[in-house]
Amino acid sequence: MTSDNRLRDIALDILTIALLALVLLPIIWVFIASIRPNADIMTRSLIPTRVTFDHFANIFSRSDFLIALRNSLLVGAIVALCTVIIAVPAAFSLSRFTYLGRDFIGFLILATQMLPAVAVLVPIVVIIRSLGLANTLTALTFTHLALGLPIAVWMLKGYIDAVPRELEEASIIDGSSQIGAMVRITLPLIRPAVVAVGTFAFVLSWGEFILALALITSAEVKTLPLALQNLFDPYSFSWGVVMAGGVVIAAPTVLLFLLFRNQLVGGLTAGGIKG
Amino acid sequence: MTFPASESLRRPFGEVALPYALVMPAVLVALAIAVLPLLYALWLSFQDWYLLRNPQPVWGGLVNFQALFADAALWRAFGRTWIWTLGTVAVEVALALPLALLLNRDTPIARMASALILLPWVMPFVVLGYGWRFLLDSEAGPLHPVFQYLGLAGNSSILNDPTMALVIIIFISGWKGMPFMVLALLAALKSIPSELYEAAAMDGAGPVQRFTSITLPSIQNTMLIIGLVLGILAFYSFDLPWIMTRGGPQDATTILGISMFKAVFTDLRPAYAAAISVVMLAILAVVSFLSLQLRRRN
Amino acid sequence: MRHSLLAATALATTLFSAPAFAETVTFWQFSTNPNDIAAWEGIIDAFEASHEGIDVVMEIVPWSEQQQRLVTALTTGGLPDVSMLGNNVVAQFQAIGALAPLDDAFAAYDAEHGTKVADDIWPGDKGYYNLGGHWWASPIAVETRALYYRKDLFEAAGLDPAKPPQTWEELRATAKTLTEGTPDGVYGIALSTSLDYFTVHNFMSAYLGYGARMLAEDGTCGFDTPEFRAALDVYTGIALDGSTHPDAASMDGNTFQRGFLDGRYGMILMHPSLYRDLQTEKPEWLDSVDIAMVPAGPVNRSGFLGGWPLVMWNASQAKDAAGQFIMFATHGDAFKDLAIAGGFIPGSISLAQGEPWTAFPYPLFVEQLQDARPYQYPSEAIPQMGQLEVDTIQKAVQAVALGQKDIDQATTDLCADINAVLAR
Repeated sequence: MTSDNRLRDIALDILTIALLALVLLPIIWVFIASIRPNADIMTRSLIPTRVTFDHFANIFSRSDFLIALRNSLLVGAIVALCTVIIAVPAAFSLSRFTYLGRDFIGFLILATQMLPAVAVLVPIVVIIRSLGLANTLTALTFTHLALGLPIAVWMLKGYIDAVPRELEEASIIDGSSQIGAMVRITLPLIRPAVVAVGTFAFVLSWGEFILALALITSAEVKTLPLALQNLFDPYSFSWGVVMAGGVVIAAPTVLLFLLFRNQLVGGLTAGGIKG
Repeated sequence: MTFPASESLRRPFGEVALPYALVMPAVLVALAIAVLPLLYALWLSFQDWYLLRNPQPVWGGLVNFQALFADAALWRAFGRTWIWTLGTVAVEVALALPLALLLNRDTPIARMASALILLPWVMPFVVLGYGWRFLLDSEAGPLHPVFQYLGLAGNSSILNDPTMALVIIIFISGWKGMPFMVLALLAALKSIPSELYEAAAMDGAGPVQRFTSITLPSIQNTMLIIGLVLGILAFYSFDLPWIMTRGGPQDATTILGISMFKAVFTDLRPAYAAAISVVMLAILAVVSFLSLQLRRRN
Repeated sequence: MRHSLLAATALATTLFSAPAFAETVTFWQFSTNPNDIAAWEGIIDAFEASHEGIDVVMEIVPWSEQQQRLVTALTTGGLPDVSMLGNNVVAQFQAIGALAPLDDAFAAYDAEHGTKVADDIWPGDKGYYNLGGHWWASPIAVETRALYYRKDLFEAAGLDPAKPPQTWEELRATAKTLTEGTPDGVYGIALSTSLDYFTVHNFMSAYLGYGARMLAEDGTCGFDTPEFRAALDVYTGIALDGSTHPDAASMDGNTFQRGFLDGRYGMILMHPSLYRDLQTEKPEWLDSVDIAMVPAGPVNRSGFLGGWPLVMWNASQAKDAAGQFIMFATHGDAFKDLAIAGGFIPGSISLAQGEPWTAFPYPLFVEQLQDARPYQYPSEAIPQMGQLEVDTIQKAVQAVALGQKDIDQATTDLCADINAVLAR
């Protein structure tokens, strides 16, 4: 019976690996194409016989790509920071206080999450133009805040809810203010969640395409997803370089996600994220 | 609601204002990026604003909505968007259900696979869009000969065939969204008490019967809710069809998001585009309302 | 009176724009060809050296993206001070007030150099750039296309290399023979059916040659005629024969041009700059390349009338500096160097009549220019042209080439689309 079960588990494990490989094949292929000479890519075979980092060297020697990398890092970092700075107090307020309109405010913030970027694209483009902020990283940063902020508030609220109030109350009796108790007692306890939420905001901003496409036209303020299009220039085109660009964009996303998977999975299932 | 309000009268102002002050920045962001644009879109949709005629918007009443109802190409895009949405969700369920069942085991391989399966969901659309373009390219793409062998593609890339382009991009869209469904189904599967299966096994139920009488009823609610969430996301797609085919060939992959984008940036009609997004929002509101009703009934 | 006013303005601008702080002129340049980029870098260096206090920042915006980028910038801000522009969309952007007139810049340049720059502009360009009595663009290049063909591949396929195809029917037959008579992966002609300018650039020669016209007398769509159907039939027939790349329905002109340089096509309808590229890259079959006139239709031989000027955008905060850059870049010795390096026919008549435009292959292109006509020939330029060329005409070609519609259906739908755009 047990050996039967073991056999069944092994068979299912093998099936799992096979199916997983099939599902991830497109991604694996992108990665492999990024480290093969162009001549080998054209043979269409999967097994790499030669490995080259020329495509990456090529991409990191392009000034437009480097500028875009800097912009993406800058926007992503500021978005992550602002998301945390805004979301932590908001989550604390929604979790620890009872006040008029709290439920409505909570609903309003969550509803923002369900609003796809495409739905508000036109008014945002027109508003930002009339503010004279088009083609600035400021405008992009501000709109990217909406990508991760609502889910951040709700995830953090969940974590704060889980911290017993008594811990803070004990600190208040000892003479700290409510804010002081939050900062000294609760915040350290939810630090992993705060880091995860910041990461999440960074990742969403990093890969964002349509707002950048609609708001950014000049090369100095392009972000990475837009810079990828530049690589489709027939005079220097190679699939290897395009795939290397894709790997550069995907790498931090994948890395950060695998690092913070446990914190993020809860948030993901909590309420859908923007595509 | 009356209780905290009357209680707050007795508290000093600073204490009453504190929670509002803490939540205020988040509310401001929500207002600035969601509520204000929505109201502005509504206002804009009643303007007459065709950049080639009037550089500034002027009041146009229902002119955009009249044009919208007479726009045959937009109606076709509307129908296509429903095919796209339902197709994407169908692919998501069809891929996710067997994977979730397979991953719902407590082995190291299954745990590792549950993490790696998230990759398509995590990776940005741009990367996957260009990646798939490479895979389907007629000169370098490894998948092209496969489709040629199957008779699905000729010498030209499958992305140049209007019917197949839509089919393949719907598949990619479903493939990209599938991990989210796997994640949700896994959570639902893990919450089924194992006693149920043991009892059914005692009653002599086979694996198929156990699946239809225990597993499916326990996860169908999750499947429905997550399907709705993913469906709404699919309804508003833009990135994938834009990156892969720009809505072409012909209008084969032009869904509403692309129609709207083109209305602004190719046709120079921002107010008309705003009217399209207002209609899309109305549909989203109706669907969300229905889904909430459905949720309540379940 | 006008002159004294100008002089006063000039004096005022010299007084108030102290050269102490640098002014920046942003410039969108549309060519991604490395030779062109190097040539533009040269002219910018020369300009900055002779105009202290002005910085020119060039940004490469590919032709395939420029319309969308300009419109995005128009709606959201972020336009450059100066940009290239397709000759046929100058009217579109002028109509919405997005361009700044160049009359003052012309006058200032004439006053300084004793020239009459307006008189040196090709007659065809005048119709495009002088609208409502004002100048809105200063021409860089006039462009037309001719048929490049490979005599070695003609011989390999059993064709007479001395007899390039003279009509569209012959072109179709030759392309088919070439495809069949050359190795796999080499196609008869580099011809697109995609939503890229290359398609309409080629196809317009066919429909004008067959006697079709875009706009009827009453200003609505004039394509619903047997002439247009015949042109659409012969053009899309080339793709349906398999005589061009199988992905022609999604490939752009640059990719085809690159493919011709890589030896993958027997023929291509292209501008003179391609010859410069051939000379730079020196493929081993370079000596087998010859150039013939664009194929004729039953009614006439119509060349593509292209060209790109520099324009100044109305939103510019540095109009004076921008005007100086435009005039510098489109006249004089620096401009001549640019035109030679770019391998194009200059938009200045006097320049085009001298060296090196008297040597192969330019005279053929200059001759071809006599037959070059705008898309909407013989009607006037219209503001909607930017949309019509991209999204209606090319869509009809693509529909037939993909087997989505037959000729009649595509023609009917095309006219419905054109009339809808015109009625907006």
